[in-house]
Amino acid sequence: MPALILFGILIMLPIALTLIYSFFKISFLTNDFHFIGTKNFYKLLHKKDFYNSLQIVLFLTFIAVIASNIIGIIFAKLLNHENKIFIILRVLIFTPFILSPIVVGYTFSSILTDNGILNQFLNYFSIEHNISWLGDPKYALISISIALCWQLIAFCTVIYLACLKNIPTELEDAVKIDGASGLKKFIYLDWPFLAPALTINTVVILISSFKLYDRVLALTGGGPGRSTETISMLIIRTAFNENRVGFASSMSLILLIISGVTTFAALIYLGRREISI
Amino acid sequence: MPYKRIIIAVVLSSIFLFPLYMIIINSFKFEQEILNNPAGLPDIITLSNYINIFSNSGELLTKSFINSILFTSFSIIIVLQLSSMLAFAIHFLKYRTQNIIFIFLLLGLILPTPIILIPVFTILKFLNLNNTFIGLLLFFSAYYIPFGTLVFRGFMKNIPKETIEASFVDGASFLVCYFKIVLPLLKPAAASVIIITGTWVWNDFINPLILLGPSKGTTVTVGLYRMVGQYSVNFGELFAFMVLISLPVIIAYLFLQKYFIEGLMAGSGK
Repeated sequence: MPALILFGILIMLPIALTLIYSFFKISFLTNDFHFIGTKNFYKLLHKKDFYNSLQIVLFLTFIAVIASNIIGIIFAKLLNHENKIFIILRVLIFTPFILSPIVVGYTFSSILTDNGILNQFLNYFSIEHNISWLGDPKYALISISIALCWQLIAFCTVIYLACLKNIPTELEDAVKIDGASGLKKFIYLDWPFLAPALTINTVVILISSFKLYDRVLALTGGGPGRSTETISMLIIRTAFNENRVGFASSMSLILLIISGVTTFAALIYLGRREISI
Repeated sequence: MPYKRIIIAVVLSSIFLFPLYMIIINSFKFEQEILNNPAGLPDIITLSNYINIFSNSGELLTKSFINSILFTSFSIIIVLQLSSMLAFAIHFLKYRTQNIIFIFLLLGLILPTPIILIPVFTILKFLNLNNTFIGLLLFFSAYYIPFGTLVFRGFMKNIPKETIEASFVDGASFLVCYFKIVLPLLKPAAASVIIITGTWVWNDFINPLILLGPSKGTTVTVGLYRMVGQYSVNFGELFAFMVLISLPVIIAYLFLQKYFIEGLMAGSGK
């Protein structure tokens, strides 16, 4: 099977190589390979940058999962209506997701820079002190999570909408006759039908947060300092700029384990939940 | 007419889509106006930003576009062909073998690319394909095969087993059955794979940046990054460049939006 050969050589083999490389000291420049055992992992334990990046990614992932799902459901419920205006809005709302992350990064950077639109807008309402959305470590991470969630909300909304359409109209009418209130109707009628969408959305959010790179590069470049450097950025910097390939591979391996375990756990847990509901 | 709901929906959607509106509208303004009045409609519509890109970095722009068009179309062709055949072949395997293959494909689907870029780089170097068009093309194809296969399998479940079996009884070979019976029934799945894989390849940034080499190759996304890094761009030109490189995917989405969403559901739902 040509498909499996290609997939094997360029996807599965690299995963295996990541594991092997992480026990070596490798340089791209000199093509040196030295077996150094578990030294890379030992060094990793004392690498502040790594903990820093790990925290950043976990924080962003957490925010993205919660915010994108909640706002996605709200948008989906709001737009789930057969009126021409809603149909147009449903088509438009997805467009952020199909833009390139790097385009999204530069878009938000032009909105959030010190003399960008947001600050001008705030000045207009005479809120005096200019906030440096991208230059201040306190706000930079929030700015990035906004740019990340913007695309993911678009995705979540559309998937939730697709699932809301699957609710049979008879059921909806029956609930209406029973006179269930808005919240009750949502918990007992909509929520079970949205379970598959929750699974898909959460998994997609996890995947895109763990590999977060382009948006941050365009927004802050990892700065100020290293306050917004994601693990992906740290790996690429260590391997291709600092030329410590083995060390970078050991980070890749840890990220692979974290993202793999989290994603599969979410997939299995949410998948079971779908059936039990 | 639920007026209250319409107003709330329109207001919230407008806030949500404001960044999009802002790029488009400001790409038609003069620089001074962007700085003074970033949110309003332009006083005078100008194409000067677009003209400036062509005169300042026209070579980068055209090269980026040609490369991205080639990458996208060739990746689509390879992914379509290979993943539909794989999905078809898996159909005939034992249930357990099927599951093992799918677990591997799923692993490939959820894999963040930065993790494997280092070994992919060394493998391509070993094959003498680093910094080449074909090297990146092969990687793109390999990376999107899992998604394509899952979408095709999702749609293939709807083809009755009897249809396939009947064709074998009639004496059709494996390949004849694939090309004459299965493939025509998979047209909607193919449309989904085309639009989604196409968008992803077109938008991808980190893989071309690393695998094409720091100075040599370019795609539209890397071109954008280079333009910001190399030339002193103003906001207007940046926005115009972003509009130009986003336009193809937006147009494709508007025409094929139904397949886009169906494909995402089929690829992610097991």
